[in-house]
Amino acid sequence: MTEPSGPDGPPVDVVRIMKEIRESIQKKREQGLYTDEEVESLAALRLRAYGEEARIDGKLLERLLGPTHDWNISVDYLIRTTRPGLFGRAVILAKKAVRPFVRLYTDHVLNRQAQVNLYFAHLLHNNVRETARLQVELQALRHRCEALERERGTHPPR
Amino acid sequence: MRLCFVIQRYGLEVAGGSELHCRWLAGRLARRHQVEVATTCALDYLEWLDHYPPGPDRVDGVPVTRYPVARPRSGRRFALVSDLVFHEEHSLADEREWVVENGPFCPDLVRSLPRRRDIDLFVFYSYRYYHTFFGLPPVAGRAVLVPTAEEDPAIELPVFASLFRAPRGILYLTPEERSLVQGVSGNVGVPGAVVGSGINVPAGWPAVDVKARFGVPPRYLLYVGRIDRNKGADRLFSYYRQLRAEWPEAPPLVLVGRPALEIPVHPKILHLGFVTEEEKFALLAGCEALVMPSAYESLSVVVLEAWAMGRPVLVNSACRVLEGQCVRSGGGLFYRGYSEFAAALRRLSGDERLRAALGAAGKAYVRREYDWDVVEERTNGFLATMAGRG
Repeated sequence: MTEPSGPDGPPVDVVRIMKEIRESIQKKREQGLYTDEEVESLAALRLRAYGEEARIDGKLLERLLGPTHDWNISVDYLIRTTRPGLFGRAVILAKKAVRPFVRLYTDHVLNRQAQVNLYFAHLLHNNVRETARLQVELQALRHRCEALERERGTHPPR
Repeated sequence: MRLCFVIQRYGLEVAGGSELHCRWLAGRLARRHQVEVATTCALDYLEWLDHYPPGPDRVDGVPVTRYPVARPRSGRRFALVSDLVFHEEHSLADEREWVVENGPFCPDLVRSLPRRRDIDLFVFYSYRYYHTFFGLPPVAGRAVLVPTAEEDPAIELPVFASLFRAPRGILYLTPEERSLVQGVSGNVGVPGAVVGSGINVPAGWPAVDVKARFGVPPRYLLYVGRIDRNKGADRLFSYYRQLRAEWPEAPPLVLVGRPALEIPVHPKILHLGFVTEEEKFALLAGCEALVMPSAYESLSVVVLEAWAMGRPVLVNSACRVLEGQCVRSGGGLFYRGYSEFAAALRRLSGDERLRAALGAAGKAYVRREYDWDVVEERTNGFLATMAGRG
């Protein structure tokens, strides 16, 4: 381990200290000792791989894996047009006039769908996270078994 | 030289990082040049509602002209346009609309700039705001940009690439910020200088007894800044609670700043709210380490302030600026994820010599790079060259 120097000594090599810390964490991981956050990262990797397999749009996938729910459908939307000038402004005015009537029929359907989307996303994320956690636990138990077997001399060291 | 600083908001009550940098720099340069400030009447950065009266004003002796905000920011509309430009297929016109919605929407300020033929250089603060995006191009030949860019999604919007290529020169706060801006815009041809920021340590801080005034324990970790999700405060709380569960002797966490999210009720998390500058520096001087969990910083002044007080820092590696500062100074450790956060804190807490050595290295670094005289000389030299007087 790096010996820190005093305030009057040579500067501390912070990169080396962090390297030592990271190596000790890596050793724990090799034994199957992961924190909740690391299990979460493993689950995220798996979720990302599934998304790429399904060829989902990369930007949407990022949002699906992000901490917010801004990927979900929303009843609110921007009124836009690609038409320029006076005609464009007229189109926007017309769309704004019609919107309240459209939303009268669409809002509750979209809200329901957003809730269903959220539920399934939650369900699947939790399942993948739980699977990752169980695999990590299994790995830790395997390591433990091998260590015990080595102690008893019944298993050749790897 | 006649200099005009152009910034989104300006005043003694404004606490934002770039606004503070602007006020400090304008104040320093006013001692040797004719300096003035053009800004809006806004104080609040969420809605940009007018707070100050329009017209001439004076802050710290520097003349200021304020222009009213024509339309406050609509949170709903800004969220919808943000969703479009950051997540959906969109056009450059949509990105320009994002800048308008971001505000502060102040066309009077923008229109006033080209009329000022007497100004040698305009110094524009923060690339992402309306006043810079629309105000800089008409005076580009006399404009110096201080981007205060962070690694957030806005920097990658293509509409900003031309803005970064437009000015006469650019003042960066860190080498990481320069790399970031050059990476997204390819503006290597635009002259630039990394000037950083000076640190103002108030003279009265040693008279403040923080233990008596706030009841802080003898050993504590400190967070100073907006207590906000964007600053990584939520992650800091979850990390700290986990750390305390695993290590009950971990030092308490003291928070200073305005909360924008709920602070967890925890016997070892102490929120002090707003404190004076003297109190802040006394708290910094007494902490075991300053923790900075933010992933988005163009220059964390509070990290430099902790170093100025000889204290070590623990910063989030996700922010390249913060990690770069720690590596260059040798004044702090940096973490990626909970395991590293916990291990680095245990290492810091358990080793007084290490803390002292990191703090001393940080202090020397701040003296070398962030002394106001150094920063002022660098800035002044660059501005003189840009104005053709170098």
